[in-house]
Amino acid sequence: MLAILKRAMPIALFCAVWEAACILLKIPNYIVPAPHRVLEKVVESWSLLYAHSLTSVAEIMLGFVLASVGALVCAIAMVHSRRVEAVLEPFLVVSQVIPKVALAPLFIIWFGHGMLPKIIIAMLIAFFPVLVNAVVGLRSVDAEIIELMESIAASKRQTFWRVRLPNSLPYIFPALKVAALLSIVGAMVGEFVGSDKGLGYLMIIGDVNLDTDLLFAALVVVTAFGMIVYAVIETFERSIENRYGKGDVQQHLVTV
Amino acid sequence: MAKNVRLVPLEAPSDASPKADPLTAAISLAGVDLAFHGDASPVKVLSSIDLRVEKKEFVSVVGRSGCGKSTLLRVIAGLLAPSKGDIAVMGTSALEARLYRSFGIVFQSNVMLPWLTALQNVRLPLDVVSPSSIPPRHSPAALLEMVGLKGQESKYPRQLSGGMRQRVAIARALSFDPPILLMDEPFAAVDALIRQKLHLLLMDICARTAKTVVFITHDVYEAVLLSDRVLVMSDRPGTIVADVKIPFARPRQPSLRSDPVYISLCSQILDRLMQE
Repeated sequence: MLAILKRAMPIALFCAVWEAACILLKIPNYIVPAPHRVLEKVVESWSLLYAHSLTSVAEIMLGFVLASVGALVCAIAMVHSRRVEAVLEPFLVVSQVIPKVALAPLFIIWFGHGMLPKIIIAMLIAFFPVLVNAVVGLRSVDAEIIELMESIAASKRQTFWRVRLPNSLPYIFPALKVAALLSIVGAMVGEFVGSDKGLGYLMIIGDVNLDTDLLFAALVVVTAFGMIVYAVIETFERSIENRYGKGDVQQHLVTV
Repeated sequence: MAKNVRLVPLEAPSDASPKADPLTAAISLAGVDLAFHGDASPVKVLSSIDLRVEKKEFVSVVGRSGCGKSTLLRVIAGLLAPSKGDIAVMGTSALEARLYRSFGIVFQSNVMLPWLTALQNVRLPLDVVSPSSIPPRHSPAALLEMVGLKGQESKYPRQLSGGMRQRVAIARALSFDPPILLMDEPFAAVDALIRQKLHLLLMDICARTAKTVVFITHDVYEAVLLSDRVLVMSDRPGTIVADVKIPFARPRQPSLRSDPVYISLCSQILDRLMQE
């Protein structure tokens, strides 16, 4: 509890400065509303925010889960088969370069204004960091450990379950954390481009009506959700770190 | 192939003397060549290796870094296939020997799985086979006790020192109670004091369990202290250039290091290595 308070301190300080700045500099509410106004708006419009956040959360979680599972399956296939690797490798390189969010308008054209295009964008953005890290994690097993498994007549499957997969977890969890946050970006961008539901939609409504309070309130809700997801994954990551010891896990290149 | 049938080579070995019979030796290599595929031409790493290790014999292979001595161990373990030549381990091929659990390996670096405890690491070789097929002679806990790690069973590798991790690796290699121990520079990464303790431990284990040991090292003093025979390997392509019998009785004490015969043997072997 104390640790959480300690972590929240700088943010509280930031909000205090913000509040003071709004009062002292007489910043109009439609430019930057003071934090207390944003909180009031969150409470006041809670039922509206809640209804729209359900849509966004569904898009984000579906996108994230599909991306993670798909990326793990692809990573396993790539590590096990040279042919699969040869086919997927060029796509991996191209996908790192393509600005995935720029595809959003295209998906809106193809799949309409519903949840599907947002799920696809969220999935696409979240997919590659997990894939890249999972491939590295599955591959980066000490050669002597592989030899050891071979010398005790372990099958490829046993080596995978007992060595490769556990070895990749410290690589996969940081990627999952990034992927979760990226899928939020994906869903929001998808909602900006074309939607009639969701927190991104509320932000656009707030924008065109100069209802900056609403815009900020939606931002607070989406940030809070992101923090919860982040914290959950981090808890898993910590437990793994405790067991494995802090490794030299590198974060790999991530593009949005 | 049925695992319980030991295959006998159909052809009689060319050298008919009983001493050369590959079926009676723990390990026998005849005319083994190994070449890796380089960029342009194959790189020859091992060249016409003839090697015979009797049962319960402790044989060290010394050589300079990169001479192919670790490669030789991997050929014996069936991790690398030779380009030419015959290998028999306990009278079977290297791959069959693996299935019969004829040998355990200890590598140089600590190859403990970081997410398993010491006890789980020792159990690993038992966990990859169905429990019913081969009953272990010693329990993993008893093996840990034998290597002096009683009470450390539930520690993770990161909580153990380098020397302790090497003890775990030895215990793991013994988990099937295999007749042969293959050791690839097992003590190269631990400091000198710990190494001495590990030497005593290894000699004690060999005395108690009557193992055949092939021990790869670049440390001549270590090789002479531990071994019944020391083989000297030349630089690439590696071949065995000297076979030195070590006459000291067992059990041996660390005080052997000041014995004049020991010292002269060591310098003879070092001289031989220098010539290469």
